[in-house]
Amino acid sequence: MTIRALLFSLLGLVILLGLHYAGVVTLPFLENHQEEVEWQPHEMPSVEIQRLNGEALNLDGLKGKIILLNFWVSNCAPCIEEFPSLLALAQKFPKDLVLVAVSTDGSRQAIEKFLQGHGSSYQTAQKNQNVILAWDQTLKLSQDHFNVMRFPETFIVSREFKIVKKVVGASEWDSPEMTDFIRKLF
Amino acid sequence: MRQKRFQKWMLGVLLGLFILPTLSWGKNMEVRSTEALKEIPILHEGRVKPLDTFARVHLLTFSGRSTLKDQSAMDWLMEVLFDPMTAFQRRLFKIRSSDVIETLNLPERSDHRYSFHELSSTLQQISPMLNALHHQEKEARTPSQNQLLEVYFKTVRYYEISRSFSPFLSLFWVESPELARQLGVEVGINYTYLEISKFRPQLQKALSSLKGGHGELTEFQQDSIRLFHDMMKVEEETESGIFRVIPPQWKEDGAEWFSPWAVFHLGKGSPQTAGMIQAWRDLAGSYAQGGASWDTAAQKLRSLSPDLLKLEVLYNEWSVFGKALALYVLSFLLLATSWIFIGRVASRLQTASFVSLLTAGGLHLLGVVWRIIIMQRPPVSTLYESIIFVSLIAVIFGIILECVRKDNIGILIATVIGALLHFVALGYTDDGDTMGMLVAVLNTNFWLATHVVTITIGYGCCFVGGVIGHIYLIKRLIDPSNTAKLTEIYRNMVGVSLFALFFALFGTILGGIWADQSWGRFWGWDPKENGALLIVLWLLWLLHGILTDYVKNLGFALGMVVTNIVVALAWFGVNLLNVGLHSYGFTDSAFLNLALFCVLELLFGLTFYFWIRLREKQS
Repeated sequence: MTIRALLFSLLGLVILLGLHYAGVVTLPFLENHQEEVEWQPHEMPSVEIQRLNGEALNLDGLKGKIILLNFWVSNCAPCIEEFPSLLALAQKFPKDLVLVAVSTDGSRQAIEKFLQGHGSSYQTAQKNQNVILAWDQTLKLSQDHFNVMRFPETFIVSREFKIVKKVVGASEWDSPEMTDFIRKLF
Repeated sequence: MRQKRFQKWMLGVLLGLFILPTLSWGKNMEVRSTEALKEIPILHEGRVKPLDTFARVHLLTFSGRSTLKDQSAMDWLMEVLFDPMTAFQRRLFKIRSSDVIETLNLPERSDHRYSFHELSSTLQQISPMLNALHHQEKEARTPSQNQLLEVYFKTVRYYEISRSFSPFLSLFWVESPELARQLGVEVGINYTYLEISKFRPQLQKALSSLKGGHGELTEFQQDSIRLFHDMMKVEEETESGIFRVIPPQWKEDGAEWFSPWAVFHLGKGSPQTAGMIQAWRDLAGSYAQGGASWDTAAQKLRSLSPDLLKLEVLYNEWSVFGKALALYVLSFLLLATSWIFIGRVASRLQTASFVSLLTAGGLHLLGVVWRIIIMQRPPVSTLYESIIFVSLIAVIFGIILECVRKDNIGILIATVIGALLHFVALGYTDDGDTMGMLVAVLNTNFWLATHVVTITIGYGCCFVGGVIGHIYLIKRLIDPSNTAKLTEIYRNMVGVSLFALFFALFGTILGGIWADQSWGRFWGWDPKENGALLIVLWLLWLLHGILTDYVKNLGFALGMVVTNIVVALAWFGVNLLNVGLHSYGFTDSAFLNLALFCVLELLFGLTFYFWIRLREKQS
């Protein structure tokens, strides 16, 4: 290739670059953006929990309903603070939503003491039978399956059994914003 | 025919010597192979990169080498993560400064290497002084004090890496049978933080027994205090966020990655992180024995890696620029050796030299293209990359010149510039990852592809012209009667200088347009802009000089030698000033090397120029 031809080739390359940015041609290599991958909900694993009464329950059985999987411990102030609002939210959607509140306390007494503190609201919520209390005494479920160490942490699971959101810390669960969010999942 | 056969034979030998050994066979035969772990993604310095790069960069930072004698970078990293006690004893840190060695009360060693254990104990003793130094301005510190601080920060970084998986390491044990019974654990078995933290309520209950107590502590109480204290100590390491191997889990995380500690500490856990962290726990647990559980965990983590990272791991392993450098040097040596022979031997050596150059150029080009694919941007965004690219341009020019002229001058140009610039580039690899993130103003592919590429092509052409100038001067001194050859070399020199002027001018104008878009002004008399203008003006002056017959052939050759100095000052020199909007390059002590280069070039040019003038005057 002669020098002149090389020079014109290089000039042509620069013109090509200009045409690319004028929108006449497209050179994918020069596109300076990363593919924006939309966030996808996580698959909810099939896990078995132990209810407070000792019965085993596989969460698979709750498919088709919105599940609030809430991890708490009795000596955690935000857990105490948000529990009534969780119960209130469960009362708003008695047929379509299930609250699975998993305690990670070391003793049953601590759990019972906690529930006594929320006596009336807990009993009211119990009537709808969409509040399930579970006990993760060995921390296998919370720590090993969900990597939960801060409390409270709540996973919101859709009807399609996908985790669509996680809330860390206390939240006003019966607020209009949260209620709307839950409604959109129906 | 024979020549072609020889060329093919030569190419085969070179391929065999340089490329085949990088193919990995037999590497997975080790008990605990770290090959699969190389591709694990990690977010570091703003970029998702393979763990192999992370390991190499850090090993290079701490020890000055990207591999150790008995360990690869990955093996070293795994030892730091999963067997820190052994790693702390390894003599890793290179300290050459005798002032620093004296300050830290370290023994003098011929290899200048010291372990973390040796450094940490002495650094702890002088921590108030280090704190005071850290709060001083860099300019107010002496070079020794800066080096001392550098050692300190390296050890901090090293310790932070070693603590990345402390939740998964079996660091806890219970000695008291009573405490073991209360916690439901066994005496003499080691437990991880995650396992023992499950018994926190029981441990807190056990500690409550200390309240109001008097007299000597029982074994139960002592063990409770020790265990609780160790747990607190590990919890302090929740600050360890350097090992970001957990990708973003939730929408609000954006592109943020997390370390294992951060997953727990910040509430980023999910069933997916649980799977990944379980794999890391399995790795930690099986580190000592290796075997199937190690391999399974490694393969699980590897499966998360995107293809681009696999490409980068291969790039790290092949080390194409190192091989290209070796081949450039080989090519030059073969060419130089051919000068002392005549006839067929000389011809064969020159052929071998050219084949070696082509192989080197091919590897060099492969490396540049590889980087483009990995980084998804043009290959001239850092000083290191610009050096590699300029040398590639010069090599391509040299090869084209050789194909046209067939008189070995092209080989000489390509090998000299290729080798020298590669050596210069080596000095910029110690600063860490050479595929770093760009500063904001550079983060635009259009201007990187046009302005920067054009300017660096201009630099490359200038260096080619400069080397031709050297050749002209030498030729004119040793063989002044060969006017035909000299005229030919002179014409090539003028042609290359026109090329250089075209690209330098075009690149400077494009730079002005970019500056107008980024900084709101076309020209700001920035040192870098002045440097680029200087190259253009210098070349224009030379070319006008020969057009007006003011500058003769000899003067033009001297002028092209000086062009090397002008380009070096515009390219490297302006970064040393550390002023202006263009100061995004490195500003370390390259001054001495730059000054040496300029002095040597000037000395060469002037010596030959006046020597030739004197001889021609006498004759």
